Amino acid sequence: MKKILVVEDDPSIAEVIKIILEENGYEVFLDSTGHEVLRNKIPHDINLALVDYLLPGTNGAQVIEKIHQMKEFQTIPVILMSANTEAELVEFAQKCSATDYLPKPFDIDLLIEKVNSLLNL
Amino acid sequence: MSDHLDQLLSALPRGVATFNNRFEVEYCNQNFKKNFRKKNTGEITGVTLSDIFGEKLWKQMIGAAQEVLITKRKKEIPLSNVSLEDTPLRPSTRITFFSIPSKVGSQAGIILRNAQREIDAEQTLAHYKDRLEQAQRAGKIGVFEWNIRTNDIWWSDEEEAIFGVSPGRFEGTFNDWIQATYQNDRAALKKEIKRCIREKEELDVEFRVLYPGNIFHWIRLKGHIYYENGDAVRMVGVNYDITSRRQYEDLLEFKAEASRTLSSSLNYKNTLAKVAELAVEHIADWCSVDMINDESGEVELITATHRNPEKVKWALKIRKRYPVDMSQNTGLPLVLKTGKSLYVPFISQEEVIKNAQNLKQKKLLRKIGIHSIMIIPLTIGKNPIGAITFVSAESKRQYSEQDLEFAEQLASRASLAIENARLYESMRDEQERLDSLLSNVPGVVWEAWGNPIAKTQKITYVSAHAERLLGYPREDWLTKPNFWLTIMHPDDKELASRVAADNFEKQDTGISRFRWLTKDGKALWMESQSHIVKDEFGRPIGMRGVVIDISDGMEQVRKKDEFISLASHELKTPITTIKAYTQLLKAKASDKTTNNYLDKMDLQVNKLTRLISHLLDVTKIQEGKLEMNPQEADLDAFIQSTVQDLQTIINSHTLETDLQSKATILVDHDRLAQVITNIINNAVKYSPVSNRIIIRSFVKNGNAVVEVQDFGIGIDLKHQRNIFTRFYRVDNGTQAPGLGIGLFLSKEILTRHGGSLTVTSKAKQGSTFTFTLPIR
Repeated sequence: MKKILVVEDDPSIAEVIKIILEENGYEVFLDSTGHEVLRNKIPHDINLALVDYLLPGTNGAQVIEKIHQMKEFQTIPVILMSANTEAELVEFAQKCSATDYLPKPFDIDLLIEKVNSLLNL
Repeated sequence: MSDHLDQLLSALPRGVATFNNRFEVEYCNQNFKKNFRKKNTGEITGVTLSDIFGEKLWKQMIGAAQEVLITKRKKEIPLSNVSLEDTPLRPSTRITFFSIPSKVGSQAGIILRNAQREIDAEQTLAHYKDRLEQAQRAGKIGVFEWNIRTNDIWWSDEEEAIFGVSPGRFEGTFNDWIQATYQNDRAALKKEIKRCIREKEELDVEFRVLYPGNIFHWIRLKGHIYYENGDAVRMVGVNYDITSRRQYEDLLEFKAEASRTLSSSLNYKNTLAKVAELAVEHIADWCSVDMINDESGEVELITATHRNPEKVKWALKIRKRYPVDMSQNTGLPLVLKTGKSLYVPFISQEEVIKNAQNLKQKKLLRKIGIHSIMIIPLTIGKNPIGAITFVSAESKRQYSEQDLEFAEQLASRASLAIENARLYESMRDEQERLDSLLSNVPGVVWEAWGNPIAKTQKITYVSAHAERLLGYPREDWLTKPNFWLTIMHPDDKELASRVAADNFEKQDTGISRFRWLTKDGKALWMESQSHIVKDEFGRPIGMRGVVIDISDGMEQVRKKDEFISLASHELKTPITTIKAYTQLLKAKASDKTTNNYLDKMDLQVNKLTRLISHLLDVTKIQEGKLEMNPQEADLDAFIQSTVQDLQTIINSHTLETDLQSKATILVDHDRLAQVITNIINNAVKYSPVSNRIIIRSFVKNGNAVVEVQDFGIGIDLKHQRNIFTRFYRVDNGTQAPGLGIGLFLSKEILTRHGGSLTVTSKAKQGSTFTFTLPIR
C-alpha cells in the first residue's frame, strides 16, 4: 500500500483528503502544521506528499524544501495545494520545485488523477 | 625787399602780401601762406589774388583792391561783412587792404588778421546787454560797484530796496552788503565770488535775502570783475529780484515730484503725507490733508506739515482740541460740503482777525499768520471725500491763478490715486477673504499660468493648506520654478508631469495621483483635480485645481484589499471541504434524484468559488496585478463555443448568434470567456420578461466588434456612465442580485487587451453592450 503524507493545517480539509485517498487505497499520514517535517519526523517510507502552501508559522515551500533535503525523499513527488489564484499557485510551485499543484477548491477526481499518475498507477 | 625786412615781416603774427596792378602777388610772408595751408611762399607768389581767394570771395574784394592800387595816399580799407564760406580762411579772419604809395609803379598790400578774441568779447557784451535788459524788464534792478582793494561799496537806491532794507541802511562796505544776504546762503556766495575772481569769470549767482517778517526773496547777482596787472581791483554788479521766477520753478519742481509721488505707491495715506511734505518744501508754509471718515462721517486730519516740526506738533494739538465743525459754512467745512475749491489770494491780518469767532481763534489765526490760502477738495465721482489745504504764511507767497490751477490738477490726481488705492484695498481685502476661506479647505487649492511643465510656468496662488500639509513656505511655490514637480516622489515624477502636460494641451479636466514628499521627507499620496483656464480665443493659458491628501484613503483601500484577499482565502477553505464531501456523497449516491441534487450543490459551490475569485480579481486590478495570458483565438468560433456552453445552463432565453467578424485575436482565453459569460449573464438577469438575446460580431474601423443585445428593462442614462465602476449597482427598487463587479472586471479585462466596452440603452427597451478587440 502506497503511503501519502498530507501537510494541511485545516483539520476538515485534512480529514476529507484522508477519506478520499484512503477510499482509493492509500495509506495517509497527517501533519497539521508542517512542524513534523521540519523536525525530520517523517514516516520513513512515504511515496508522495501533498502540501498546503499557507501553514502556521511557515509555508509549503519551506516544507517541500525540507523534504527534498532528506536523502531518502530527494526524488519523491510533491503536490502543492493552495486557495490562492491558480496563477499564484503556479508561481509558488515553480519556486519550490513542487512536482505538481492543486488549486482549492478542487474536484476529487482531479486529486485522485494527479496522485495516481504521479505514482504511476 | 631786403632779407632783413623779410625776416621781420615773417615774424609778424599777421598775414602780409603785396600785389601788382595785375593783382599778382609779388611778396607774401610765412603767416600769409599758412592762411591758405601752403608749404612754400613760392606757391603764392606770381599767382593772382582771384586764384588765391577764389572767385566768389574775390568778387567781394576787387573794389577795395582797385581803390588801394590807384590811390596816391596812405589808405587802409578793412573789409566787413564778406562771406568767407567755401574758402580755406577761418571765419574769424579779417581782411584789410592798404596802399603803398610809390613812384615806381602801382603796388598795394593785403593783411589777414585772426579776430577771434574780438568776436568773443563782442558776443559776451551783447549777451550781457541782453540779460541786463531782461533783468530790467523783470522789475527793480540794483547796481553796485565794489572796490576790492578798499572793500568800499557804492550802490544805487534800488539795491537797498531789493535787499529789503530801508534807504541809507547800508554803511558802505562789502561786509555790510554781504551781511544783508540770508545767512545760510552767505558762505556759498562768498566762495563763488572768490572763485570767479580767481578764474576770471563773470559772476552769476542766486541767493536769498530775508525780508523783515521772515520773508524770503530770491536775488540774482551778475558781476563783472576788473583787473589791473592781473589783480582784481573792482567789481561792477547788478542785482534783481527773481522771487517770482524761483516760485514758478518751485511750482514746476513740486509738480514733477508730486506727480511722481502720486504714481509711486498704493498706500494713499503715506502718499498724501509725502505730497504735503513736498508742498511745504516748494509752495506752501503749511499743508494739510483732511479726509471724511467713511463710517463715522467725521473729518480726520491725515497729515499736517510745516518746515518746523514744533509747529506741526502745535497744529496737531490744536486740531485735536478744535475738531472740524461741519455745521460751519466757511473754510474747510464749506469745501467739504460743496466740493468746490476755496481760493483767497491775499488775506490781510486785519481781515483774519476780524473774522475770528472768539479770542482764542483770534490768537490762533494770528499765530498762523495766513497770507494766502487754497483749499482744494478731493473727490471721487462728484462726492467730496476730503481736501488739501495749502497755506502761505511767513513766506508771504501769494497764490496765483496758476498755482490754483495746478493745485486743482494735483488734487484730482490725488483723488484718482485714492480711488485706485481704495479699489486695490478692497480687492486685496477680497483676496484675503478668499484666501482665508480657502485656507480652511483641507486641500491644496492652486492656480498657475502657462504649461505646467514649462520652466516658465508661474504659480499665482496656493492656499495655506500647502504649507500646513507639506511644510514648505508658500513663497517656495510662488517663486521656485515647477516647485510642485521638485517635491514629487521620484517614481511618480514622469507620469505626473506627462499627465499634467497632456491635460493642459488637450484642455482636459484631469485627475491624477502621485506622491509628494513633505519637508520631513514623508511621502504623501495626493489626488489632483484640475481644470484648464482658457483665453478669449479658447487657448489654454493656465490651470486651477485642488490637490487633496488621500494617504489615509489609500491606506484604507490597501487594508480593504488585504482583507478581501484574506477573506477569500478563508472562504475557500470550507468550500473546499463542502465540495469534496458533495463529490464523495455523489460517488456513493445510487438514486437519480440524490445525484441530481448533489450536482446542483456542486454547481452552486462552483458559482460561489467564482464570485470569490472575482472579488480577488478586483483587488488585483487595484494593485495592478491582474495576470493575463494572451493566446491566439478565432473570435467567432470562440464566441460560438462559449455561447453553446452557456446555453446548456440558460433555459429562460434563446442565445441567437450572427457572427461575421472572421477575426483572429490575441486574448487570455479564460478572461475573454469570463467577459462574454458576464455580459450574457447580465443580459439574462436584466431581461426577465423577454426570451431572446442576440450576439453579433463584425469588423469596424479595423477592430473586431462584439454586440450583446437584450430586450429587457434597460439602463437609465444617469446610470450608464457609472455601471462600469466597481461595486456600482443600479438602485431602481427592483434590485437584481450581484456584487456590482462584473462589468468593472469585464471593462478592465478588455482595456488590458487594447479593447473597450460601451453600452447603449433605453429604459424599458433593452440594452446593447458592445466590446471591441484589436484584430491580430
